[in-house]
Amino acid sequence: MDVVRQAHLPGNYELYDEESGGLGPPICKFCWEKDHARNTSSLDTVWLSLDGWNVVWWVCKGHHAGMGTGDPSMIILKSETSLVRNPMIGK
Amino acid sequence: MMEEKLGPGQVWGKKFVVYAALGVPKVDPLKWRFKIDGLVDAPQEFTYNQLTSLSQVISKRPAQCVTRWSIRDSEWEGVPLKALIEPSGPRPEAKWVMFHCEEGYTAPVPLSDALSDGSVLAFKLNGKPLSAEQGFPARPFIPDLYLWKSAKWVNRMEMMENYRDGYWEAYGYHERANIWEEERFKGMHGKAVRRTALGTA
Repeated sequence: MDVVRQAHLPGNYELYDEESGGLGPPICKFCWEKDHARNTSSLDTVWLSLDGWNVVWWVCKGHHAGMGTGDPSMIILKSETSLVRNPMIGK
Repeated sequence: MMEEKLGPGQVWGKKFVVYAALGVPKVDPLKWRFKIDGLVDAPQEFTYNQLTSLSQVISKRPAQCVTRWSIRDSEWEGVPLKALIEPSGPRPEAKWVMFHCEEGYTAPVPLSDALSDGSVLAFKLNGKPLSAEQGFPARPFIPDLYLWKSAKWVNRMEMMENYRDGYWEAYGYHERANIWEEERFKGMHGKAVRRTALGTA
């Protein structure tokens, strides 16, 4: 049975099989936090600065398109239109 | 009992979740070397056979991951880190240890935690040699810190005066990572858990 768990990449979520301990695919951060929806389809990877923190988020294309508008504390540094499972973070 | 204590905010899991952010290296134990250097008076270098020939202890404490799962009944067998560090003569200004690993992973820990009771350089987990996925040939186990500090495939222990980010700390994980203080992310002090810019609560 897959459950949603905190991913090791801070601020992100992924599916997890409790019986086997196996990791499933990541899910869109915003779909989960806003609606508890397990959206695993076609995720993008976004590197951003948020309140001085450098973070990397996995988000769906719909939420990616809306990021960075109206929030001066959020600066998008770069993005990939694909899932980067182990992204290197900028220092 | 202390060894079965679950950290705050943790849940018991059934099996380890295996992470390998930089891949699983294949290590030849005959060629592998473990070094202790940096701010020490007597840098050391060991082979696998030398280390496994030293007196071994078992540290029976849960493995507790920052992603909130913990595994009970984990027995980490190896050489107390204290028995390796003290003969190397760490200088008074040494306050941190950086673990360096085969695949480029790094993890800093306070020297005081490395020297604490129960901290070992482990070669076995639950009576069996570490598997490749669990860090063969060696990984430290530091029971009071979240598991990312117990760096797999370790090959070097560098004594430092000042803190430096390792692999996961650059992503926002905590400098010290004490389980009992729930130090998961930078900017989280003591047990004050707040919603951070990382989006975690």
